[in-house]
Amino acid sequence: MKKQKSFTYLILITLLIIFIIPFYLLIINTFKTTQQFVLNPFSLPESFNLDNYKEAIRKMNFSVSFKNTLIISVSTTLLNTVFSSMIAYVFSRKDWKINKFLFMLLVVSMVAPFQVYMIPLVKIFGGTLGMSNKLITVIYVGIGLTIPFSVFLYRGFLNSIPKELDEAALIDGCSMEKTFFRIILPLMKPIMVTVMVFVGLGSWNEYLMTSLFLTKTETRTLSIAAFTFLTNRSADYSPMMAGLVLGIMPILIFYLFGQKHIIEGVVQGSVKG
Amino acid sequence: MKKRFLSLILVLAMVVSLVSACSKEGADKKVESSDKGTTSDASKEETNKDDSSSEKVEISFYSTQTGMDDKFEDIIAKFEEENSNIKVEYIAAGDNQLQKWMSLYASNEGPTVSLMDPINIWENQDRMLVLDPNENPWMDQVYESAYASYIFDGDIYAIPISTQGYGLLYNQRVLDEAVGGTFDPDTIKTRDDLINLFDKIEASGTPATMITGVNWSIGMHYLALTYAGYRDSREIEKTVVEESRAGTFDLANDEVFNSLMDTFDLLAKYNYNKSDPLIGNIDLDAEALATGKVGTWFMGDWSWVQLKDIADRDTEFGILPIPVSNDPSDERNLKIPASQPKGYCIDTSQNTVEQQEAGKKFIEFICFNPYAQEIISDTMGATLPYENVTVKSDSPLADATAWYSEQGRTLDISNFILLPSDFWYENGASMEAYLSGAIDRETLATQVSNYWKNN
Amino acid sequence: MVKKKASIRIFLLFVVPAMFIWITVVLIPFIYGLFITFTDWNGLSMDYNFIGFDNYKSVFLDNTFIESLKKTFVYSFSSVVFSNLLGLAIALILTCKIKGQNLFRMGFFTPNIIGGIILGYIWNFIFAFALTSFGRMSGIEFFEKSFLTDPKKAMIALIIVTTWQMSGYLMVIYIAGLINVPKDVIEAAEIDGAGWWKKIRYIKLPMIRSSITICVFLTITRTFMAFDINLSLTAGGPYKSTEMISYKIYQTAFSNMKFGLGQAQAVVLFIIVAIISIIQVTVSRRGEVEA
Repeated sequence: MKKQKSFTYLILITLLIIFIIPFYLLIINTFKTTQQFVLNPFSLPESFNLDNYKEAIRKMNFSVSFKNTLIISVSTTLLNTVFSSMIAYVFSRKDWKINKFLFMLLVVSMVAPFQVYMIPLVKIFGGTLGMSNKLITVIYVGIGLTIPFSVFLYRGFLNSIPKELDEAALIDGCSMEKTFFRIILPLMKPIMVTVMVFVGLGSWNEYLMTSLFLTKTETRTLSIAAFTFLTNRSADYSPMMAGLVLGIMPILIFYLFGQKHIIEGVVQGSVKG
Repeated sequence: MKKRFLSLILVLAMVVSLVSACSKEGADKKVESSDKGTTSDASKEETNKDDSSSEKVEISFYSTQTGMDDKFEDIIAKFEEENSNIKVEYIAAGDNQLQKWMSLYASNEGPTVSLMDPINIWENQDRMLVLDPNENPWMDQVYESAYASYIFDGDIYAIPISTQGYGLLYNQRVLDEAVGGTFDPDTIKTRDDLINLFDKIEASGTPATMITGVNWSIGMHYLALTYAGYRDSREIEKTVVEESRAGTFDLANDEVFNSLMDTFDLLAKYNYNKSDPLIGNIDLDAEALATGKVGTWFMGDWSWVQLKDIADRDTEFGILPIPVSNDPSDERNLKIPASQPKGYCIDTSQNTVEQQEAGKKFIEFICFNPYAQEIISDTMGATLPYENVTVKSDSPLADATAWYSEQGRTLDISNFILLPSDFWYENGASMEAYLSGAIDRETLATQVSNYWKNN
Repeated sequence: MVKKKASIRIFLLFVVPAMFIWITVVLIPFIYGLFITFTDWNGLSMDYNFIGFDNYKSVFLDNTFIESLKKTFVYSFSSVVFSNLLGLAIALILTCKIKGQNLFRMGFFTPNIIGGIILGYIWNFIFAFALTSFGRMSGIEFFEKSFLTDPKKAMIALIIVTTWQMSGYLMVIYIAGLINVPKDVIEAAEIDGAGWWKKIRYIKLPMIRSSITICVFLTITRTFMAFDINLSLTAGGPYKSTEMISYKIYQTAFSNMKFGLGQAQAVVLFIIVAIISIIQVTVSRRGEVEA
């Protein structure tokens, strides 16, 4: 039994090393010049040279890009959570024909390549409505694009919560809203955390859609700003990677400190469910 | 309880920041939309200019010359300082220049001035302003020949940013050691001379040449020479392209194609990257040439940007033409292909007359102002195709291109605009397959011919 | 009557806001996009012509499109199988009260924190330089040349990187499912003397059937539409041997400037993926019922 356990650990640790090697490479190379990186990406840096970070902060206009990214991701994630969980709840509880139809539409749209509606999207929101270069546009579109995915996950989870639970509440005279917010929402914690992590990460790293709408320097997000290091045929990789590290730091810190709460939330929710 | 309170504050903070962000944006929008309203139709109506002098004109500048965003912004700051009534908004291209351009036009924000490739301007002439040298005397400062890629049906559509040449870049020190003395590029007049040189370099213990196996280099810069540069006149080149489209051009037995490919075979034979020819890494290859690990490299003067930052590099570099025959009197063997790969054009479809005028001022500034010239020449390592340029570039490769231009020893490759915009991508793949030995020359010719038939 | 009124109220309150956003962001632009497939618009020009079904005809007459589709099938199938197996295996181990499981969970998820281009570039270096120098040192010929310059091995490289990135993502979903398996059921099985394999085979797997359906669905759609990794790792090379369907569509629309044709290709891809996923979901739903 013990032998088996240490064997499991061995596999896990080997796998983990493979999984985080690129991450390790990313970090050590931010302390080198681009040339040193290109010649040998695997060598250890000679010193903790912070020039790349300074360069990244300057060129990427870091504070502004950071603020934009934060506003977009937080708003997208929160609003998406509210809208998606509500619609998913009705989809899972009410057996209306229209619900089935709408849910099917949403799921089918998940397999539609973004290219099909990308340029029309820009034409409508940017051209007709003149909403380019506004963070609110990106938030709105971001919510729309992630709704199908979140609804899909939420509905799956809600189906596993016994209906008797909210039926009892309804009989007690609770309205559907109250039942949802007071009884169901707390139960959804584990899936909510999972979906929020997915949606939040996705919108933090989002590049293509955002770049179509936000073209001005003062509306740039971090992932758009990182492209300033890309040249036509090559790139200034070291400061670019420093910029990326700075960009993912907040997520990492959030994940590190929030981790305990996140996992706890997941476990608690499941015990109750 | 504490937790709940905390989360409440968090949500509140978020809402406040969101609302404030939106309201600020709303304010921005008002200004924007109001001048949008007056402008969008104005371009066609030729509105009266009387009130425009007091108002600030807002224009935008879209650059596809990436990697120098901050430099362009410096130039813009200087320009705005000198032209207080014009505001220039800088838009960087990001990873795909056409996609970004499309989305800008789709959102009615077509840039006033765009720095684009000739083919893109050519394909969208109907949106662009014809630049008349009679109305704009400053245009005379551009060398006339530099307009070649931007003249469509006799009209000029753009002002070139730079002249760039390519060929076999060489490391002077390595070649000096190989020939025992000072290497003179004019001693290479035929393909055999080149073979001779390569053998000498190899004898001195250094690999002779290098091909970077990437589609834009071997697909565009090399293969496209079949259609532009090496034939007697632009008219003949045009016929070749037309016949290729019609499927009547016999590429497999074409003299220019075969001569070029014979030299390509030679380069491939002595290739530094021979063991894995498609490894294609521009940074590593630049390092190999800069430090003398290899004697020559099929690349262009633009790579000075990579070369110059390499520690312990050699100092002297030059460009050799690509010889395509064994006839010493063949002039093509003495010339390097050179062109003006990007130019500034002005949009008329989504910009007012005032904006177009301001755009002209901006182009004039960015091309001819000494401050701007210094920045452009320095960051791009390129030759500026204008008269009376005072800045001196530190790039020996740009100097080499300039030298060939002055001698009249450049091949006119402006007919690259006849090639569809995906030429480099589609045929670059065939060239890669050829370089790696996956297909032979006959198959290559068939694939390229088939490409033309589908276009 | 009262009930109906209440239903409408709930519909307006719960369903309409989300649907409104979705319709404006996805459905309307999508229909607009469909309309473009019947034109010869190049994405930029000021006018265009209606050309009926010509774009669709070109899609099916284009050999390279079919080729691309075949490659995508191979890539997609392999990635779906490997990433789900790996993700599920990790999730199973990490829900067994292992010491440091939180650290492990986080570690396996990290590939998803770094997004996009830089990831492909780092892997590019690993395949082109780390593995080749390993090959030279160890003398194993298989590693001596870069994976990315050989058509077959470049495809393997793509599958490896996709599996690497996707399995951590799937792990999270599988863990969420596994945590929900009631502990008393497992304890009861343990008392009955069930070994670890039996516990997985007869209790855990059937209980997380819906997670499996979701994960397989997600991986099918993701891999069929894989674009970022294709661009940054191989850029379709060597010589277009790894040019998968999404990348090809992108090239057609934004590099070849055949926007209408690119749109038509995308619509065809959409129909194909929709059919595959409907089949997949139906089949595995049936499985769920049986279990």
